[in-house]
Amino acid sequence: MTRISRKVCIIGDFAVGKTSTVTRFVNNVFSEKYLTTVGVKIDTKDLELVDGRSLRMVIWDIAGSDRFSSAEFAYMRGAQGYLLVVDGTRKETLASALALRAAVEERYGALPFVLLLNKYDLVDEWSVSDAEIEALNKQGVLVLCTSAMTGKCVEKAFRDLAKSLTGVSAA
Amino acid sequence: MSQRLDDLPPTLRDRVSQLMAHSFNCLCVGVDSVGRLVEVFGDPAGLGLELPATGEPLEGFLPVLTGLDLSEAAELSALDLGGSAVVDLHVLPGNPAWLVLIDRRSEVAASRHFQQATNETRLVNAEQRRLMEQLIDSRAELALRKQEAEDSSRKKTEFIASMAHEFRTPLTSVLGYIQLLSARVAEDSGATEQLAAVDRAARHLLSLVENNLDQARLEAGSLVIHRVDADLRRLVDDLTVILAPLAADKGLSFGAYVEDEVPQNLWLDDVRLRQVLVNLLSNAIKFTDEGNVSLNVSWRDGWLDCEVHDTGPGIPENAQARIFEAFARLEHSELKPGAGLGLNISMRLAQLMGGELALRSQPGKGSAFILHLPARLARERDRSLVHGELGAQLKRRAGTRVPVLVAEDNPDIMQLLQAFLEPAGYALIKAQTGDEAVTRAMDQRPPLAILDMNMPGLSGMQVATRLREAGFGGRLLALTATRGSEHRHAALAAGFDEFMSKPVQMPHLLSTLERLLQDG
Ligand SMILES: Nc1nc2c(ncn2[C@@H]2O[C@H](COP(=O)(O)OP(=O)(O)OP(=O)(O)O)[C@@H](O)[C@H]2O)c(=O)[nH]1
Ligand SMILES: [Mg+2]
Repeated sequence: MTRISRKVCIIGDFAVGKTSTVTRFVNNVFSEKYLTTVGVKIDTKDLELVDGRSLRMVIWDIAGSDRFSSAEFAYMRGAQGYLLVVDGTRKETLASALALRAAVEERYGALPFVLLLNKYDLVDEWSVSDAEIEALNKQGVLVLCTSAMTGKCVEKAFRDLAKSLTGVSAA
Repeated sequence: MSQRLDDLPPTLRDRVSQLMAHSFNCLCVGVDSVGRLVEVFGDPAGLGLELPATGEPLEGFLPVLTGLDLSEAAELSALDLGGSAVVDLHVLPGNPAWLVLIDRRSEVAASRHFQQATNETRLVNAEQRRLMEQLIDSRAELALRKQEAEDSSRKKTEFIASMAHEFRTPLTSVLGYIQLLSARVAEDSGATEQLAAVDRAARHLLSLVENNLDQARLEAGSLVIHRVDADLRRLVDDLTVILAPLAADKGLSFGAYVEDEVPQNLWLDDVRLRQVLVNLLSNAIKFTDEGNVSLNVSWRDGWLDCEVHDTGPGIPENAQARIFEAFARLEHSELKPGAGLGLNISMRLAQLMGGELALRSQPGKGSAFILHLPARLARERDRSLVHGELGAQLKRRAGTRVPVLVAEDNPDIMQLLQAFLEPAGYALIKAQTGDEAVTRAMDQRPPLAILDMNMPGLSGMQVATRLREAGFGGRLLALTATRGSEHRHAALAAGFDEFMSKPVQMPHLLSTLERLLQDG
């Protein structure tokens, strides 16, 4: 069996649920307690692809911010794609995410990415409007409503990203 | 680096590499061009890492190598590699390329502490800002709705008032001409009786119009109570003059009594009181075919009771609640005149005057309507300005604003608390620091104090301890940005009665304050 490895990053403003999303994906657990990430945390998860290969996703969970400094740009080097996370209950985190995306594209070109509107379990308190989501869809951005708390669409987000990295679906 | 180390004698080389690894707590890993481990200096386990044997591929052990270009110098700080390894990584290109990993566990732990506090504060502020926006939005919305409701209500009132006016003018002239005519027709022509019938019908029409006008004013809230020094006995005499003949016409006996303890002058709206009593008495006469109709007026402790009693058919129990609704007519009364607004207007006037209208009745045994009104002695009235008209709740609040100390250093949150607490009937005593809170609380002794836990100077916890030591007896509520039961226990131990985490849900805060006040 061939094994391939790909580096991906997960970025977004602070406390949007990046670490929670990775922890849900990798260990299938969730904690209400907020423990902020300093620097970057590296995790791995193996996926089987339909073509029989095994994909090791090396996930760089980067400390939240609304603007990248040289340290964060250094973390992004070598990444083949990324997840862009927004906290649906704080609309300002959508603006941060879009700013990060623009900065990344300027530095590293258009990498594949999936935009996660997280905390869907709190959708009643969301401040991101349907119109904004619609506008992103129109631009061709792949948008998923996720919840690290319930697990909704977390696996799908990583699988969709894996597919855009390898051109092959996960099994 | 390897070059120079290799130049040293083997024993010395080992010694130097050991020293190096120790003093920097670092690890140097040599990697060849295809990613195999060439050489290691330092102790991987000391950093929390595990490495393969020399000559084996490294990437499986160090996932950080995925996507890492070893032909370029790079510097990556604060990498959490899993396990317990937290390092700064330097890439030195060459053959072999060197990875230098320097332990950063304690530095990262320290900056996490700081970053955590900063982010939590920003989260609380963002939430508070969101609440503020919601508050502002909902206020604007409310104001708009209120405006709309007022507009439409005003239009309706204007319409009904102008209609009523249009009707009233010709009716008045009809009544005038009836009087002129009745003076001119011969006594015995039979026309007198016919004219009397026209007169009754016209007067009835006029009273219907007046009722509609009052109803519209009540709906619009534009009917205002004007209190004066009223002479009750004179008012009752007037009623007797108007109504006794109507009763006599039907062969009923009529009696109106004012008990001795009723003061000569009372502070009330005599016009509206007269209106209600005329309505109740004329109804009683209308529906009673034999026996008597009476009015009895008594007064006790600032309350006036006017009881209208009749020996009519009575009102069945299942109809008693409905009878006060607008346009409610009882089946058996269908033949009697009246648009069904009278009792509804009477009841609403009674409420507007701060009292109530009650009914006691049994079918076959007659009915009694009791009008229960606040009526102070005319000279006593200043003692209680607010009374009656306001709802029970407002009355309670307006009379007694509950002082509450709020100690909070963030002006936004202070403003938010004020925006909610003042309309709910609290008077805020503000403090911006812990020391100020202690002084104010001991000075003014409010029954309630809300303390932010993180204030400059004395913390909320210290304030609570001091207040309790000084014998402060009010209820203490802690507001804090942190959650968790250990904080709660600590707060309760320090003398707090209740503990709430920010962002605070305002309705919850209000109900908690109510509860604390009731318990206290
Ligand atoms: N209700 C709800 N809470 C969530 C969800 N995802 C994360 N959280 C909570 O949001 C807070 C922040 O989550 P993290 O995963 O630490 O956020 P982060 O983006 O990694 O934050 P930084 O590392 O500081 O950038 C935590 O209290 C989580 O429990 C979710 O889907 N629903
Ligand atoms: Mg994190």
